[in-house]
Parts: sequence; C-alpha cells; structure tokens
Amino acid sequence: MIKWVERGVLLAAILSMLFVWPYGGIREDKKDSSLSEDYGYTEPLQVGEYASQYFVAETDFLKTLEIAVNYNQEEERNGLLGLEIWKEDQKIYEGVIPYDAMEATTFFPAVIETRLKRGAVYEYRIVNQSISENLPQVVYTTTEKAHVPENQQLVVHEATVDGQALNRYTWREKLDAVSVLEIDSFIAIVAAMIYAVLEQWKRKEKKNNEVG
Amino acid sequence: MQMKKMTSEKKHKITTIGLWLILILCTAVLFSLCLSEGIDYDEAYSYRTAHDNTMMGIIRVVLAAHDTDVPVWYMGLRLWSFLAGDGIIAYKMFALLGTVLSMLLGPVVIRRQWGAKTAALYMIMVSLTPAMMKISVNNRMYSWTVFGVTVCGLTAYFLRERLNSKALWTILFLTTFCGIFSHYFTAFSYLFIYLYLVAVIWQQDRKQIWKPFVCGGSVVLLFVAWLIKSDFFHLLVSDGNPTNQSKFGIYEFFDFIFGTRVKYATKMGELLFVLTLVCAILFWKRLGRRNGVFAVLCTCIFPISYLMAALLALHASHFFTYRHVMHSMGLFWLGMTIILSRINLQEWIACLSFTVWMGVSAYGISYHEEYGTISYLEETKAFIAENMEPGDVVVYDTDSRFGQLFGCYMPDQIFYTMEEVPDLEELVGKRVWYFQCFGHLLEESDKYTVTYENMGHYGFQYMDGNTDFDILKVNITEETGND
Repeated sequence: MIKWVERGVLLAAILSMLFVWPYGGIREDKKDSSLSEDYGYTEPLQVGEYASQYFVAETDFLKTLEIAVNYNQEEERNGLLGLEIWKEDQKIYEGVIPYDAMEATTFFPAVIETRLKRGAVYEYRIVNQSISENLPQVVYTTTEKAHVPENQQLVVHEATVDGQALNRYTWREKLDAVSVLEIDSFIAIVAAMIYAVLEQWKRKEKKNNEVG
Repeated sequence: MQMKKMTSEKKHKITTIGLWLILILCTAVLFSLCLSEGIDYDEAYSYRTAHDNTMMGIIRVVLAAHDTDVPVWYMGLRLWSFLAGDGIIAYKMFALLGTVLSMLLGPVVIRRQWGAKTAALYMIMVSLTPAMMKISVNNRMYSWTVFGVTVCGLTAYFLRERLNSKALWTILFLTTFCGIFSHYFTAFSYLFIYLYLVAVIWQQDRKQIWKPFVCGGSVVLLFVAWLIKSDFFHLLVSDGNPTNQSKFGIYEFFDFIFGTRVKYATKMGELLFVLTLVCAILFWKRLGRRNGVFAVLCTCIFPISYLMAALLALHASHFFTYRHVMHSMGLFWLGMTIILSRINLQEWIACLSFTVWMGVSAYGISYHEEYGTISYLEETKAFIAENMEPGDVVVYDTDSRFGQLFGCYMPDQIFYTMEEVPDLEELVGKRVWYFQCFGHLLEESDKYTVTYENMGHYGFQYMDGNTDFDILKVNITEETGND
C-alpha cells in the first residue's frame, strides 16, 4: 500500500513539474504601459464609429487591456463603449464598458484573458456603441518615449493618427528557466520529504509486523 | 578490509576537494560583485568612519554620534585597510571576508560534526541566498556579525561536552564581545545562545552554571557602560512614528531571506521553513536529541529575535530594517541544513538545486544593484580628476548625509548643504561648484552676481535622485554700482 502511495507521490511530483514546464501553468504578469505625458485626443467618435489601434502580441496570453478616453467632464455620460479585438477579419474578443464608469484620461481596465499568437499583429477597436451625447475621444500619446513598444498605428475615421493610443497591456508570460528550475527543485524537496516520511512509516510497520 | 579503508579515504579526499571547490566557487561569485566603486550612504559612513580616523578616533566619533553604532567592526575595517589598502573596493573586500569565514566553518568545523553533505549545503546557503549575498558585498558589519554569532552558537554546542575547555570559553567571550560591540542587535541572538548554554549546563553539571553568567555577564556590564556613555537610552523614547510599525510582516520577513524575481520565491521559502521544522519533529530520532535541539534552536533564533526587535522598535524612535537583526542568519542556515541533510539523499540534492537557482536569481538582482546603478560614476570621477582642485567648495541641494558619500570620492573638497553654505561674500574669489540634485540654486543677493555654467549631468551610485545631479560651475562676482 505504501509503495503505491510512494509511486503516487512520484507521479504527482513529475506531473507538477510538467505543469510548470512545458505546459506553462504558472505564469508571470508583464505590464507594458504608455507614459501619460505628451498626449492628445482624437476627433469624437459618433455612434457606430471606432478607433483602431494595431498592436503586436508580446506573449501568447493577454490578461488585461487598459484604455483611456476623454470627454467633457461637465456633462452627463450615458451609453456603452465597446472593446473588440480583431485578427484580420475575425473578431476574437468583444466586451462592453459603461461610459459613465470611465474617468476621463484615466486607464480603465478590461479583462481580456484571451490567447493570442505571439508576434502576430492584432487590432483592438474602441467602439462607440450607443453614446449620442458628450462623445468620447480616444487619448493618444504623441512622443516616441511615451509610446508602448507593442503599439503600431492608430487609425480613426480611416486616417492614421500621428500617435498611438494611451494604453496598458498586461501580458501573461511563461516563467524563465531559472524560475522553472527553482520551482521544480521545491516540488522535489516536498516530494522527497513525503517520500522520507512514507519510508519511515514503512520501516516502522515492518518492525511492528516482525515483533507481532 | 584494506580495500574498504582505501575507498573511504578516497571518498574523504573527494569530499574535501569538493568542499574547498564550493568555497572557491562561491567566493568567486561574490567577489565578482565587489568590483564596483559605487557605494550607498551606509557604506559611505563605514568608509569615512574607518578611513578618516585613528583607532581612538573611531571610538570618539561613534560615541559622539549618540546613535546605535558601536566601534569594534569599524576598528576591524581600519586594521584591514592597513593590509588591503585604502580604496573603496578594498574596503568592500572586508565584508566579503566575513562571509568567506562563515563558509570556512563548513570544511573546518561543520563537516567534522555533521558530515560533508551538511557542510556543503550550509556553505552554499550562507553565501548565495539573497540576504546573505547582499550583505557579503555591502561594506557594513553584517557579514561579520553573522560569522561571529555562528561561531558563538557552535562554541556553545561544543561546550556541552567540553565544559572545562578554556579555549572554548575564550572564544565564547570574544565572539560575544566583538559581536555586541559591532552591532547592538546581536544581543538578541546571544540571549538565546546563552539560554541554551545555561539549560545544557544545568542538565549536565550544575556546579559549572556560573561560567556562562560570568562570561556573558562581563560582556553585558561592559555593554551597559557603553550604552550609558553613548546616551543610547534616548533612542528608546518613542517618537510616535508610525512607520516603525508599518514595516513588520511575516511575509516581508521571509521575502528578505528568500525573495528573488522568481514567482512564489517567498512563499516557497516560508513553506520550506515550516516543513523543515515539521521534519525535525518527524525525524527526531534520526537527528538525535542533542542535534535536534541545537538545529531547531538555530533555525528559530532568527525569526524570534526579529519579533523581539520588532516589538522593541514599536516603542523606540530609531528606524528599523530587517538586516538589523540578521546576525543569526548563519545559524538559521546551519539549523536548516542539519535537519534537511538528514532526511534522505534526494532531499539533499533537491535543496542543493533549490539554493543554487535561488542564488542565480539573487545574483541577477545584486549584479544590477552593484553595476546597474552607477551609469555616471566613471565620467564623474574623470570630471573630478580633470576639473576640481583641493580646497574647492561644493554646495549641494540634497540631505546632508550625502555630503559624506560625495566626500568618499572627493576628500580634498569642502562640502556645504544649502542650509550650511556660507554667505556669498565668503565665497567670492573661491572656486565654487554646485551639485544640483533637485533644481535649487544659491540664494540671490543684491551685492553679488551669481552665474552658473552647466557642466553636464553626473552622479555616483543611484539613490533616489540624491546622488545624481547637474554639476554647475559657480561664478560669484561683486556687483559694481551703475555710474
């Protein structure tokens, strides 16, 4: 019986290590953010219009995307903003954001949690779904140092804007080799401890049986 | 029989070579981090205290500071400088030497008592774990107090069987004295070591119970005399500063010991600590009572002394960081390795691997701290060598403490903060420079015209903007009246 438990412990340890690598079950967050200095605002988006920001996937998993819009803070806000992610002609993510939940020129996080292809070009769209008054303007950075490396061109009203959307990506990336090895070593430490306890128990039982 | 003896002799030789190789390798790793001339504020204080004073002068300076410093380590640093030279890197080597000596306990002492596996694991843990790596390359007393407390703990262990050994009692006294007179908070570690010793002697031979009290008590008397002379007790008056309270957490404590860039590093460290103590209980018979008690004591002294110091700091006015109580970290690793090396071979290998990868990650962090924060250092030294002369006045607009750091690189110049700077009339005709960290300038005057020439951006080891600055050449001339 103890032998089977020992085998189970060994199997659990191996599976845990495989889970860490190569499966990549444990990941680290990596944030890439525009600097919020030297920014401008696009033309207001009418109902049905959208701003397109093209970007390159830094890793194979996008955890969150934070966007920023501007509006007249003296007026009321109603309606919904849509956030979509496209790969060429295919929509791979869609979400809605209540307009009145967003603060002006402030990052608003949208949980994406979608697998992407690392290195491929995607497009996210900020869509005015139903905002007819106090129209939103997309905030964009105007200088090289404020840009985020992932971003490519920003297109609004079919014209390329001289800047990139102010945004923050949170990627999930796989652990590096040192992290994998340290975690695997810790799994081995725990497994070896359990194994030693089981061995000690086995010897004790054997001794008891002999005495009995 | 002869064949077996040769095999075990060969094995002994191989493990001896292995242990010395570990020592050399770990020393080389730490040495590679000591080759930067960048220093932080505390290192600058060490440098100036030892460099600028005689032995008696060090005692006078430390007493005059009315702070928590004690002189022995600084005196040791001064002695070292006679051997190794006066440069910043030579001074850093003194910190490295403390850790090398801690490692040396592995092949010389620990191996004989607990075997080569324990010695090997101990040597790697006491050199490559994150906190130990930091203090080994930082010119402060911590690597030496770790060594001192470890030797003291080992001496107490060996005294159990050699209560009449004058050599061991002498070592106990010297390590206690040097430790307490190198850093106050070693007292927490010594307290538990002496309690252990008293308990052991009480069990074995009560007639000799006076010995630890005489040994420890004599150091305590000297220590109390010093505390009174240095006006230490004013620091025990709380200033109500809530920041002393906010720093203490179990997670932060383990993060200090185990934290690296590896995800869950601290959590794994916490779990390893708990599991090691659990294993000490589960494998108590394998450890033996004597080893078990000693190993558990060693493992627990550090966290317990941290808690005691944390409680004290809540009621005191002096700031407090984790490294102030890390003196028993050598014993912490010794206790862990005694227990972990006795579980099974697989456990030992896994622990070795875990420590090595933890060390690799810690090395990356330390490397950046030593070499990634000195981007302006070489140009600044070159600028100083080419442009500044002895007697030049340097005014700077950051905290006065940093003048001490600047002075490590510029011993021939005179430094003033914005608050200390003399009136402009005293500066007329002198060569004056301004280290502009935060945008301030000299006060204007009707009688004098002050102009500045920006010579560029320079700096020393980066410390939150306090040590990088624009160097301005200041020209002060007397206003001539209009005709």
